[in-house]
Amino acid sequence: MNILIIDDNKDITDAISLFAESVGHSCVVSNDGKEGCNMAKKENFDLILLDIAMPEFSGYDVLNTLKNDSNFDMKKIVVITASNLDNLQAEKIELLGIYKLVRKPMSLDSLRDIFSEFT
Amino acid sequence: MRLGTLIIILCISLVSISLLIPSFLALSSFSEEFERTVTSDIKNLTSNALDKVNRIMNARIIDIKFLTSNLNLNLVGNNNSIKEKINYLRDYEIQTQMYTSISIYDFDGIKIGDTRNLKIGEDESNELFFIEAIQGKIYHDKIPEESKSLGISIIHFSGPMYDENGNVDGVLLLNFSLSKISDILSEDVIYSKPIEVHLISNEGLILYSSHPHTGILTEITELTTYQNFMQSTDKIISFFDEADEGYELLFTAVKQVGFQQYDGDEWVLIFDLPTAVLFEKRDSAVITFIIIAGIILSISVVASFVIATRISNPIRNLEREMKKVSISNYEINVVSGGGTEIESMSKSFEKMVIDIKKGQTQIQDQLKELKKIDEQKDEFAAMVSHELKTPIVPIQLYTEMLLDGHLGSLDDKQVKALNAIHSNIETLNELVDDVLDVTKLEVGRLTLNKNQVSVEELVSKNIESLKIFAKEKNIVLETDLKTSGKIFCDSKRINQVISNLIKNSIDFVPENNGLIKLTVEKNAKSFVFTITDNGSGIPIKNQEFLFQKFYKIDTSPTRKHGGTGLGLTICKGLIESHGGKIWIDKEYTQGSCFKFTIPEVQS
Repeated sequence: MNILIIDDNKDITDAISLFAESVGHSCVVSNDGKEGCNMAKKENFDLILLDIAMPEFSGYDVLNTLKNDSNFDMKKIVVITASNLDNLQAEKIELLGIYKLVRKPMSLDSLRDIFSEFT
Repeated sequence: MRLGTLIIILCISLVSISLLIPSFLALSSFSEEFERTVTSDIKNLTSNALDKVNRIMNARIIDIKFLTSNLNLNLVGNNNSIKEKINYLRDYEIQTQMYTSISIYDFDGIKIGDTRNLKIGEDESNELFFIEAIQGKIYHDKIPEESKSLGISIIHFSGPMYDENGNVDGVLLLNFSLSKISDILSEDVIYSKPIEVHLISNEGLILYSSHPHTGILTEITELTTYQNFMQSTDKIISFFDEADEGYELLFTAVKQVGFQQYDGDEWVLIFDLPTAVLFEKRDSAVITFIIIAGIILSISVVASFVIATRISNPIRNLEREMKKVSISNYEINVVSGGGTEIESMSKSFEKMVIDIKKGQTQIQDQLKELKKIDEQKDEFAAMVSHELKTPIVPIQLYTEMLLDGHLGSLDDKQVKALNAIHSNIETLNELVDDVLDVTKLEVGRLTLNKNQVSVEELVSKNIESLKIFAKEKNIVLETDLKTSGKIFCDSKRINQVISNLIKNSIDFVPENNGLIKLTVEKNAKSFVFTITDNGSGIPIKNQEFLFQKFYKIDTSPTRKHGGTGLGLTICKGLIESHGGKIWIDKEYTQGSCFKFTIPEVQS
């Protein structure tokens, strides 16, 4: 499976990609929202893990940009966030058509579950 | 004007009204008395006038008696010629000024002498005056007679004439003119205008009337009234009646009772006069009184009204404005003016409202400031939580990868160390969540996602995972759901409370024979959740502090129970956010007993 990980924290992207690759998936990593967004549009990934709180070009910006692209399948996106979103905010994100929202810190098990749901 | 002054004016008005009432009563009694006196005066006047008539009639009786006796005896004697007698009578006539003529009749009723030499030789033997007199009686007409020869009304006075032997041999006749009575009565009319005088015979014929258009010897129009009076025993009466012209008249009527030798002829003298003239003074007094009373009353009424308005209007205004303030509307408009205590009260009220308004603005500003601080606190907490959780991600992932053997095999010491790291990461993560919850509860920014959920649905899933957790320590976790109703709540948050309380119990009950029980029941207004355990219980001295932030019963460095010290604080906040209560049941002695309620109906 081809996974794109967009998160401004390099330690997080390193850890996730390390695990993903160790279980046999190929990973592309971007630590910049804008860059990640362009990659998502350009290449056809099976799964995109997207952080919300990123400087300059946030996860919201990425989601809105991709939402406007009618060819893009929003169901490929799993949002991973450390932000304390209340019910309303979480609902707002889910309404954009993403697969699901996972709160940080997530366990290895939860990542494993996501991967298995996409393969 | 001060209120006291206004009340004095009001009192004056009341006093004036209270004075007017006795004045009015006095006036009406005076009016009655005045009427009685005046009527009595008029009655006397009438009576006196009739008395004069009686006297003049009496004088005529005396005249006829005197003349008949003198003519026969002393003066001229029977031997004197008729001519000599007539001359004497003519002198007498001139002297008295009462008679139109005096006549002498012989025994056969033939007029043999007359002071005016009229109708000598005429036979008047059929006349009543002759018939009566020739029988030796003194006679006079009860009703005057129209004299054809003189063209005036005459009252005949006659008496017998005697010869030397004392036998009746002729008749003397005095022709008394009614006008002499009229003259006397008209004097009263002249001096007492506008009195009208009427002399009426016993048969209701008018003998005299001062009224110019009334015919003499005609029948009066009000005959019935007259006859009623005649038949009554009253000698004198008075009554009021409407005149033909429409105004009211006072009538007084007096019956003739005679005088000395005159026995009276049952004549009646009537006076009438308009009451308007008669009671003029009284009426003008009444009118003056009414006008003055009217003025006083009007002034009193106006003064009272003005005072009442000046008192009530500002009070009403004040009341209206106070009502506004009571519903927190400080845009008031207090009417000033009047200068009473009410005005100063209004001003004080206005000032008070301005102060309140100022105070409110200050409070609102402070509230805004506090809200801003709360927002900043919330934002800060959110930021801290984000910043704390972010580094946990790689730590947790790497730890789990190491433990799972993704990064090569580990020896026992390394596994032990990593397990400790992993367990502390979880604690740290819980702590961050708890701090964030406490902050949100404190600043009131925790949003609840409430839904109708059945009791069964609410607890079952949560209890199952807790049971697994309890089983690890060989602790029995029982549930007793005594109600199947639906609860309106944020199920995730209520489960957070239940989990927290049960996890606390798991920490405190003895391993292997521990027993924890969750009971849900329903009373009149709320669902009651009870969590009991057979642990060591909570010392009474610690109970009241238990829901405080960061409070831990066991603070020793060797304590075996974990937790952040925020759990119960969060539980309290969450239950109270649902409108419920949470407490420790002090009466439960076999361990600890926590109870909380969720109201069925929440505002």
